[in-house]
Amino acid sequence: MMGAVPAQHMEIVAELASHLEDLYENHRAQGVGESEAIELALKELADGRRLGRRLRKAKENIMNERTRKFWLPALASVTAACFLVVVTAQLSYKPHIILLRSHAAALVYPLWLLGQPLMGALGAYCSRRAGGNRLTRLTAGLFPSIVMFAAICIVALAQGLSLGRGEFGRMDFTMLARALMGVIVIPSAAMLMGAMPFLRDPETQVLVRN
Amino acid sequence: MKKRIRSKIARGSAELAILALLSKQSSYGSEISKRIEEDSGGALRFDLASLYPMLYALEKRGWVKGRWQANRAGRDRRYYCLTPAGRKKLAPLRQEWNFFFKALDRLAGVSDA
Repeated sequence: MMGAVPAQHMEIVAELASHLEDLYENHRAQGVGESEAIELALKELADGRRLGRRLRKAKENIMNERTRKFWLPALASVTAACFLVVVTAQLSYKPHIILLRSHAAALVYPLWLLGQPLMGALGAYCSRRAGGNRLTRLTAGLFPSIVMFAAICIVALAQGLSLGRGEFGRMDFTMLARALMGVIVIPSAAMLMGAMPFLRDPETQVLVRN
Repeated sequence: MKKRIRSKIARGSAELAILALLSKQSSYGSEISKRIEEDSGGALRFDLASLYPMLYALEKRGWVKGRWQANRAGRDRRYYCLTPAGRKKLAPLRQEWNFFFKALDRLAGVSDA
């Protein structure tokens, strides 16, 4: 009835009933007759629809605070990042090749990199709109990098385990470091640039302008 | 003569009124309503339809916490107290209202009314 689970519904009813009993007792203590005291107490429930509507809105369980402030914005950011990867691949966008001092080459996808600030901005903006604090906005904005970092750690761990304990040292840490730099650190910096305008509180901005 | 503030204006102040009250002492619904009315000299009054949705919204935000307790008469009541997050929220909220009143005073000269 009120968008609350049955147990919550019973709690709300019990609390409102207790309030009405208190009102009744207060009126009786002031010398009001029993039936009049009941009538006066029940006047508080005069607009039952308004009460039900407001309670439903306050208690709706569809989404809790953390989901609104963090998980949905983070999901929006990750989804947009995946979409950007797909678009980049579909456009058959050729990477720029940068030769490094150690005779290795770095592949840079400018279009993908230019899109990273938008990912950061999207996550941070959605979180701010939902009332997220600064840390929540930052984490939502950087979530695609967090996911990628977790994926790399899992792959590195799996590779390390497959090499066996004694062979762990054979793992190419240089390659891992380059991967982290190219796939995590640089895109994270770009995402952070996009998220930064939304890390400030809107109220603070109003006060500064005035 | 007691003059009640119009509900449209009063509604915006419910959050501050409840948090300020609970910062002094934890309390239950009808007591909160009574104390707000008394401490405001009758200017503010929140009925069931205004008070409880606001209390539940504050609880959802983590600023207040409600807990059932049996009172001396044996009837269970749900007592609300301010959480550390709510206590942290109170000072900026007071500043915000202070800023608002000063701005309104500059604009409409309310202090001379």
